[in-house]
Amino acid sequence: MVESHKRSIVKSITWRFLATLVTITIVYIFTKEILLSLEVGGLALVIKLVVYYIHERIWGKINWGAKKHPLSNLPVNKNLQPKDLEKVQQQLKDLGYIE
Amino acid sequence: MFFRKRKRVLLIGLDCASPELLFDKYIHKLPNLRYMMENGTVGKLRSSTPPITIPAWMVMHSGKTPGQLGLYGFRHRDPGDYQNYWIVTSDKIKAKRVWDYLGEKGKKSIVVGIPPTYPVFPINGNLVSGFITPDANKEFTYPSDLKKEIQKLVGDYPFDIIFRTEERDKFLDALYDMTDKHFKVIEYLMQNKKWDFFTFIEIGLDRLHHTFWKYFDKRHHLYEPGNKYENVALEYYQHLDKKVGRLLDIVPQNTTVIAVSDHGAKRMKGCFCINEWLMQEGLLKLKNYPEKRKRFEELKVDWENTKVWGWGGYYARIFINKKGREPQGKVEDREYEALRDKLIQKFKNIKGPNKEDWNTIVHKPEEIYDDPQGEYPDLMVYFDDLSYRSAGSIGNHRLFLEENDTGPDGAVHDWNGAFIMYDKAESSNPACGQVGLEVRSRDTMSYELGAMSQYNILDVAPTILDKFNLKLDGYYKGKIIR
Repeated sequence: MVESHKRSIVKSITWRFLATLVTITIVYIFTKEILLSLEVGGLALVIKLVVYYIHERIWGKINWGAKKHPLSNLPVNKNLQPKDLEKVQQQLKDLGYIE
Repeated sequence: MFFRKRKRVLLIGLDCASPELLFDKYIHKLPNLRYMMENGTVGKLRSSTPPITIPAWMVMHSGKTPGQLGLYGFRHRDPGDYQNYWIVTSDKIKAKRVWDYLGEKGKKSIVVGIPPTYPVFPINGNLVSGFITPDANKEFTYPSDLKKEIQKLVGDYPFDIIFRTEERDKFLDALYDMTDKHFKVIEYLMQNKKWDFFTFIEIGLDRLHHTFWKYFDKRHHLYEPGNKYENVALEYYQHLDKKVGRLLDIVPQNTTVIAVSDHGAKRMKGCFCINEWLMQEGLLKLKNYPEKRKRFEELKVDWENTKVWGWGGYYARIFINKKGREPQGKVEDREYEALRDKLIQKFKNIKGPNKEDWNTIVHKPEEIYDDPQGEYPDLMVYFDDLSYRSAGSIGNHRLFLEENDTGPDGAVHDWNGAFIMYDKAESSNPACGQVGLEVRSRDTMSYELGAMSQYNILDVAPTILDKFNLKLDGYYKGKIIR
């Protein structure tokens, strides 16, 4: 599935909200300082939000491991050759489709 | 049951199958098609406008109107050129077709003989091109190796037969040979290749109608009682019915089988020489009137003094020599609409060769298509509701011809084709097959044409995709037939 920018952004926000809560909780467990925990959590929120968005967009350009479109490897149309076109025209005249 | 058999759709295209013959006149002698009708959905199918093989099959498979596709027949004018035209080949089709939608979802399709599919192009599955293929030496299959399999199976693979011919016995031999080879290939592909959607057309009925209509339709002006070809149409319909029965036996359960025609057929009453008429009206001028019949493109037209010219075919394409659009345009912008309206009135007032009233239909393209694309004409004229072909040639020295000016021909197209849809359910027994059903007496049949359901050719693509829980994207008008 190709991600839209909007979807990547919304996913970044919801994930950061959850991850920030985890970060604040972990820092608080180790330091017992609520202010420090909120500061670390707040800074990590902003920086990781941007990094996660960039990370998502880079992965979006990498095909490795992605399920391929069933027609993606097929060659493009071949053009009709002038000699073949003449034959087709003559056939259609013989069939009475064109005058 | 935890594992349902996978859903499949088989579309059996019977080019030109006539509802009058199929549903009314012959139905009691076609047990397999009747079985499908009695156990499925049936109705008349309104063709595309115009009702011609191209664009009709593409309309059916894309769900788009001829206007959206920019297809109004087999050929189209090179823009701004009086003489040259381009032919509709597969590379001119820009719209997605049913097999493209299915391919995107990983579903496999087999496409055989659908016009136009030459030059061949890749699909997720297998493709054999149709009757607009130069010859069998060309690459006519995708993938290209499939060609060898087909030639090993049937030898020379026929795309079509010459049908505007006086050699009728030879034609019949070629017709049956072509049909048998086509169905042999179809059965082979059906049994040996993977598919979710299988679509094919058999062009034979169209060729038969054109060649033999005057031999079996007692109302035809050239009908001769007691002629040796009275039963050729019934016999060929029966031959096709047996082929259909065989396919019903072969297809796996949980397959929806749709038998359909792109347009109908009726007796040709003659031709109306559109350019001779335009000359009489003073709208078309030639430098010299030819002694013998000549194609319009071969004539020296006095373009500086010509306001209107026309193309022949099942309908007349009318072109106005408009200033600014055409190389030697004569009609000013401000005159254009008034001239079109005047022409419409004049066309509708044309009477037949015996002064009988005609039901001539005239369309302005932009009034029947939303935002028409491509090289559409200024007017589209159906003389006597298609009963008279338009003859573009000049040198006929008259307005009406009894025969087609492009060769022997007994039939014209009609607006309604046929539609039958039958589900071969998981729990049901296989269909009746070639043995056939017990034939009920004629008066128990309930297929009165007037009372039958009316579907539209635009309904077919959404109906097929609905079987796979898919929808067409973009704007389309068709409805799902259930």
